[in-house]
Amino acid sequence: MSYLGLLVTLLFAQNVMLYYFLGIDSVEDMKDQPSRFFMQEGLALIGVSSFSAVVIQSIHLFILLPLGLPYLKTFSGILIILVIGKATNSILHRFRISLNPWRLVVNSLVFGVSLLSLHGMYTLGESFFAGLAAGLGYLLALYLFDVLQEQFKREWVPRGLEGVPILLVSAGLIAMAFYAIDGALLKRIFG
Amino acid sequence: MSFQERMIVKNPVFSLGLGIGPVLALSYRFDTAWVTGVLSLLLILLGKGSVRLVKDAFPSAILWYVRITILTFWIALMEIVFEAYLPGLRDSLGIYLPLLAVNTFILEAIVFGEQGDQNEWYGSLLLGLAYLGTIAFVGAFREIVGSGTLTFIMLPGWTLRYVILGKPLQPIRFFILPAGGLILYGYLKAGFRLMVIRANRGRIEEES
Repeated sequence: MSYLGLLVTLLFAQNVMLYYFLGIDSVEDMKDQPSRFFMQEGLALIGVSSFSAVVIQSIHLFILLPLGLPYLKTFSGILIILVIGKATNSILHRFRISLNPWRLVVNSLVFGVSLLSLHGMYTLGESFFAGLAAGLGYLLALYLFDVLQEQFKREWVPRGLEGVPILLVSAGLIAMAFYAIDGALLKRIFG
Repeated sequence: MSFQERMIVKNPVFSLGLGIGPVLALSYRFDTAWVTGVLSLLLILLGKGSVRLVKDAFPSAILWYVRITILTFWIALMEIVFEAYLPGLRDSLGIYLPLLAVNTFILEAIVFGEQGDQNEWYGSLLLGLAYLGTIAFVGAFREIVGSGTLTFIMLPGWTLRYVILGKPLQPIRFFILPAGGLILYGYLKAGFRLMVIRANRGRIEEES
């Protein structure tokens, strides 16, 4: 698939959060944190996920496969993410942006995108774009959740559904709308 | 804490919001759902045992790294076994089997009660069982309503599947789609919240 096709697919048709459920745990924390925090985290995750997808794919293609050790991909992938997560946190700390390093490592988006690249046998360029698109898709989903949350503060919502439940029900409806962007159609348009 | 309380009042998925990803992604069929639950339980016990053995050898600042690395080791081992003996199931679980290494629920369950609680193994076991029960329940519901069947196991040459919804009832395929999973999860979370509110109200009335 072309880079543009990959971008549109992971952003809309197969949004990482609404289709693959990567990083969906963040929705549970949305009520406790300001939306600015999630935007900062989302931007950091774009960098971490695209960089780690390229590094993990490179190690898989150029070291593990030639040595006949493909079964070490999970193990090496996690070790790389631990190192990149820690390094990113140190860099952000210098710019006085403090994020919990564990939120970058434990967020399933980062490792999930790398695994999608490995399973899809993407090239290095495709892996980078997959990471970028996944991060943007995550940010888009978070933005939609934030807008919905603000809207629901002003609307009447049944007691049991207040907070996360109504957000998830709405997310399901948004996901249905995204299904209209068909994967096969995208392949035809973007090649 | 009893199993009933852990399952309803402090359910790890619906009340604590842990490990939602696999519950939504792998509950489209009952067999993938219960296998994920059993694997999570196994990983909690193996991870907890292994971490306990090596915990004193590392400073507390890097214990999280150690926990994730140990968990990844067990998952890599499981992947090799699945690849060799159950390739079909390995394909059904897809990227979500290696993703268990960064599953917040499993990591929390491994840490559960490490601060000197006498019943830490019991607590972790209860958490794992509640997760297994929850994911199996969601899986059974989604498959029955979405496909009209209940698949207990699907191996090459041997499948145990029952048809539940026959004519004139038709399954609603929407429920096995990711969007259906999200909406169902939202309503189930609301249902669990109402049950907790009612249980708390009943307890307060009893006390007064």
